[in-house]
Amino acid sequence: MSRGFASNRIAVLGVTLFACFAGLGVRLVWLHVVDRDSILRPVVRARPMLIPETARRGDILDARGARLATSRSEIVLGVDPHSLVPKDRRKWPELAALIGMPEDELREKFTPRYAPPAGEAPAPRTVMKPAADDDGDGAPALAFDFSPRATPPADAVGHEEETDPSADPREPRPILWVKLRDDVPESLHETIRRLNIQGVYGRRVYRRVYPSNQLGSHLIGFVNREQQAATGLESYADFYLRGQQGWRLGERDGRNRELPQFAVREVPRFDGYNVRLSIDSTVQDIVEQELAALAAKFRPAKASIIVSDTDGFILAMANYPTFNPNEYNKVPKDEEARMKNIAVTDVYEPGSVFKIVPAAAALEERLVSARTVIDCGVDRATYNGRVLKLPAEDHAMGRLSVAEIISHSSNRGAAQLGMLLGEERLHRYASAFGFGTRLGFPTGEVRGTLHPYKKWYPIDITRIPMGHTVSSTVLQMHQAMSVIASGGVLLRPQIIRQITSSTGDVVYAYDRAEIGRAVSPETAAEVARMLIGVTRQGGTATNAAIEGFDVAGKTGTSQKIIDGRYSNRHHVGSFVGFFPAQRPRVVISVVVDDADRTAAGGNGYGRVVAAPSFKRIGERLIPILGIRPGGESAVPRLLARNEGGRR
Amino acid sequence: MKKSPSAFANQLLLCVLLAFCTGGSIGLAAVWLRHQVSVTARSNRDLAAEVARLERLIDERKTLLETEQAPDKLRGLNASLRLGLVPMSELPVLQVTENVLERMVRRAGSGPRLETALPPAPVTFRLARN
Repeated sequence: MSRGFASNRIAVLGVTLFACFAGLGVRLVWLHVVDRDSILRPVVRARPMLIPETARRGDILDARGARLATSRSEIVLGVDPHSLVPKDRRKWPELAALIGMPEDELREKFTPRYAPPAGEAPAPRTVMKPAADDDGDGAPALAFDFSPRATPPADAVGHEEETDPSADPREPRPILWVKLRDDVPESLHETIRRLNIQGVYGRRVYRRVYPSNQLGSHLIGFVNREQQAATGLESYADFYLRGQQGWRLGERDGRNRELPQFAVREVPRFDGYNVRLSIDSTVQDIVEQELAALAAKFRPAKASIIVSDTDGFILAMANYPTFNPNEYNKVPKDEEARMKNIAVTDVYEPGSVFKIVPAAAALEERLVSARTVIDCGVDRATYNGRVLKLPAEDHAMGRLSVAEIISHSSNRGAAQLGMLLGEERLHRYASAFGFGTRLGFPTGEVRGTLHPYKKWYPIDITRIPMGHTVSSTVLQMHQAMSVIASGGVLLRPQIIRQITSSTGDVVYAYDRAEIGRAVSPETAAEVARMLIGVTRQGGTATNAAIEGFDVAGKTGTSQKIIDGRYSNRHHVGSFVGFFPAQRPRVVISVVVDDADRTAAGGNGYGRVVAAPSFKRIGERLIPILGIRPGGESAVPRLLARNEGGRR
Repeated sequence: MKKSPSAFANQLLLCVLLAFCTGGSIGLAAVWLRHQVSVTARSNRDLAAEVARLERLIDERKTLLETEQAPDKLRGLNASLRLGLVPMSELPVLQVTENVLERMVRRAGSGPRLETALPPAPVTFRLARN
């Protein structure tokens, strides 16, 4: 072999290699530049995948951190009958047993079917293409292709059957999703997954659960099956609770599995904040037990109890009748009123409890003192040149001091205090105590009725001081009494203590909020002293007294208006008070509507139907809230005397 | 020294082979890296899914526990199991408004009765005379 031939071979080899590389280069350029769009088009259409991530709705917690409302993930289990394989047939009975479905029904659902062409009959909903096992647990989140036929997933879980979106709507379309059961717990889903039946898969949803059932149901409200906050705090705090849905945009492989390495954009889900309430489950339970006992004993039309501290935070608020938010859909249509928080949505005439307003106002204006004596035996009085008939009393009262007017609940005494004040001042103080205005309670509050004083009838100046011609919610009356308990300040009734993140960080903390000062602290203290007389010997509610504590409170009984007239057989009885009187810790309101049928004597007076409940609740709260007698304690005084005696 | 005519071709061939090997190695490395990226991404996603799954299970258990601790359910259990538990309604602290010492003596059932109401006994001081 000549040397020239060898060098030629090397040259030919080199040129061939060059040509190969050049060919490869040209082909690459061709594929990546010239033909790029046409090659990528089907891939771009088939591979992208948008996976939504459902945010978990935040919890509603009580003051001690117990969950009053929470979200539980559940699986909506379904089957694609066209994906079933014969080898899994032997597992069907086990699946039927696990989901509690008769085997025949399961077999029927597992039979491949086709929806009639559009226009012939109501067709099942078009299915979203599920991302197979997107997070490896067999419960894929919905994945969407970007074809214009894809419909939004808002209510995807609510449908029984869904069809293939890519099928021609003029032809029979395969049904690709048949719902088997929509409340499969996570643990049961784990078991079903282990069966590994091809074509059976689930979709994860969050469902709202109220672990304590009806406890605080009127306050908390509920979220309906469409995951919309319907009432109560669920609705009010929805902005904080609902969180923000996340999503990620990526690609999928030929088996419809996500390819996480090709994720191009991701918006993480943002779980909802937790809302921590001022409600104490223990106190709430005591109150609801008391309401149940009241209902069993008196069978009232309705009743409400509120317990709060002296900073305006509600510790318990309950109504009768009540409902279980887990079964809100089982409440009959004609009984839906039981889902209202009547303590803030319904009004009543507060009756004698309102007498604290003219008494405090007259003291504040220095028109009277606690010892000022007023003749409550007269039945008429002159006011602005008119002779006005004073309201009737239950029994003859005679001459009473202002303190006795409160403790004996004299209507005529209250009327004369109102006349001393005059319309303008009485109206001003009633407004300052929170009547006729919304107090800023989060849910459903109404303002009640307190007409402008210029529209009052002449007789109103004698009726409003005893709580007639004015209407309030139970909460308004409660807050008016809280004015006395909190040293003369009207406070905003609050129920949310904190907003916290899912990791426990405090996002926002609510603090005591003052609406305004109604009376001076001295006047409030004086009225509190007068209110102690109500529960002492000679007062109208000795059965509200708690041994070892000074209880300040006021009974109220108002006649209900039936057929346009004040009825003698239908009353709203109430007792609103606080204790310890000198250093109040809790304010308690008990309002019982129409307990007359079963009340002793046939009349549902406040002292009969409401005062005993106040006492029972108060006694149970003492150990739970660690309440000690306020003011001057008897024990230290005695100890001091003994020490002195020894010297 | 005369240069060999095949030297250029040899060098070219060597360069091409080197380029081929280098390119191949880089290509293989890129493929391996991409594979590792995929494996890591999938593993991360699986881990995240597992964490989420465990969190959901924990959450489910927590909810179950709280549901079982609902006051009405506990009361029902108390009745059905005849446990006889009663709510705490007695005051844990008895408010004593009478004379504390007398009460303690009386409860002890022994010892001298304190006569706190008696006037203090006169005390005589002997004063020193200067």
